[in-house]
Amino acid sequence: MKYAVVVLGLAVVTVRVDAQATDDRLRDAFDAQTYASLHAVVDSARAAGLPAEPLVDKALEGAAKHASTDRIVAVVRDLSARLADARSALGGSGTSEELSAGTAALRAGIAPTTLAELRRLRHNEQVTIPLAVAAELVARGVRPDSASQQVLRLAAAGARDVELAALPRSLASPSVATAGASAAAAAGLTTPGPASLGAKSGGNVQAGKSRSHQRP
Amino acid sequence: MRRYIGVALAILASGLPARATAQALATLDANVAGATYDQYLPSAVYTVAPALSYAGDAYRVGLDGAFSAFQTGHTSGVGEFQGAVGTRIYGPLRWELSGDGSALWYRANPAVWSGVLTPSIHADHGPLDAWVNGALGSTNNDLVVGSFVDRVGGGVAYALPHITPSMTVQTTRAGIYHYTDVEGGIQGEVGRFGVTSTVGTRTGVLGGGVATWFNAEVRFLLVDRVSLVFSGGSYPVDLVHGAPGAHFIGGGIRVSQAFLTHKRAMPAVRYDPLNATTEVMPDARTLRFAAPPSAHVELMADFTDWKAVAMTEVQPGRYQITLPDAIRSGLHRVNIRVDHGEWRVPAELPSVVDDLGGTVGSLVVP
Repeated sequence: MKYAVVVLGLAVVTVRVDAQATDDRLRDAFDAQTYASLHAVVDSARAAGLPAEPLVDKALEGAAKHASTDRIVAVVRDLSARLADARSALGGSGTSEELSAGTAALRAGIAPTTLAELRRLRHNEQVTIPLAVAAELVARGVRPDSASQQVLRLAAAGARDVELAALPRSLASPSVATAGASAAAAAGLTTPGPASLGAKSGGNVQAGKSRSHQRP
Repeated sequence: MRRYIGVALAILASGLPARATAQALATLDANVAGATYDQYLPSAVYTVAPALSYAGDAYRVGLDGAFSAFQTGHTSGVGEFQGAVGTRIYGPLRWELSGDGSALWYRANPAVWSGVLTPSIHADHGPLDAWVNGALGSTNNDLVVGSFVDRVGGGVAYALPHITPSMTVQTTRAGIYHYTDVEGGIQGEVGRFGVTSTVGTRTGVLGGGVATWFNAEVRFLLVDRVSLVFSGGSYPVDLVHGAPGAHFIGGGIRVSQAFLTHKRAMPAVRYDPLNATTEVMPDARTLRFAAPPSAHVELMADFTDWKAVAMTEVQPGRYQITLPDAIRSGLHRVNIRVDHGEWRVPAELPSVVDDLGGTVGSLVVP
């Protein structure tokens, strides 16, 4: 019992130290009024069980890029809502890194069902990298539905994080004959392999020309 | 049933070259439709259509078929083999050679056989894919009076979030007939819904079919691997394969199963200390990016708390930074600037909007 109280006490102290560090970083970067607005958003997120770090990070990015303070507050508030969406899609829980990657994936157009499916497939592992890879694939021009399918397929096949992370690389440089190229081809991405069988273009399969109709 | 499919896939896999991984996909469609085929009376059609495909590093093969029973009691069938090989040539350019062979039969009539080889060149840059193709082949379809088939065409597709519009133009000569098709298409996926739609027009010989057509297929993922599929519209005569055009509406169910039929440990990503093909070194503390030589290059990122940090030129045009701590596994955002200019995305990284009016590079660290 005594140990439990000590552990609980240490945990409370740790959380408070983290919160203080967060506050200090915001206070150093913004004027008092903007700090108060951001602090309110971050506090609300923290109270809702959401991680504060992605919000502070976004605020600092805004300050570094000299965005207007109104815009920074609005963007941070919007990010807080999107973190909640990502957590919901991931089944109500997630680390700070998972929620950040989940937010990026949703923003890229990856369906919430993909997040849920990844959580189901990797119930004993983090889903940060699969989500990050899905978001990066879209950023590299892959369709969101296709990116989802490829990542889910590799996750279902038991691909490790390092293998998944190599996947987008294969799209960047055709000369990189490393894990990514193999993974991309295995996942059926259009770039390394032939597109003509049901891929995004130039295919032989005509839409709606169903095999169900031959001759009456 | 599943066991037999597995055995069939294993046999198929054993005859194909070994590779890092290979993916096989099996689908089975069962549907009911009402259709009016060109020059025939309206009829109900009951169809079962299995399909099998196998994707390798630089090739794909597919086998599909359909068996249909009509209201009249007549039956028809079609079987088709498709294959494609291709690799990247340089930059966004890649070549492909695809081919298909098919047989179609109806009642006791002689089967229509056809085969077409289609070489193509694609320019695939980001979401844009544009291509030109030619084709040579043969058909024994009596309707076209002759057997020679050739085709020239091209197209473009642009992948937007959730939806990919495309446009194709194909001029086909089959026997003595000649026609040109212009088609626009849309493929989309949102959540559990998927849509594929085509609108087209034909000039030249219509073969007794329509000059304009529109068709659409809507899919809804019911449960894992099982989808409801509804489709309707019209399509033109296919003089090469010997299939009549039709107006149709129907619905059915699609069951699909993906198989990882061959898996081998993937090779580890190799790092070259000075000519790295990746930006993050194995220590996860050192990053390298390209920038103009002999410049003052700075980096800022989430892992520097968005503070600008000067980079060191380790080779002409190659800049490095070593951080005090390893970068955490996850998705990170990075900008660099040269000689105190604008913050921009490193050339090696994909660009995403930063919601702050600019762009930022997206970096995945495993």
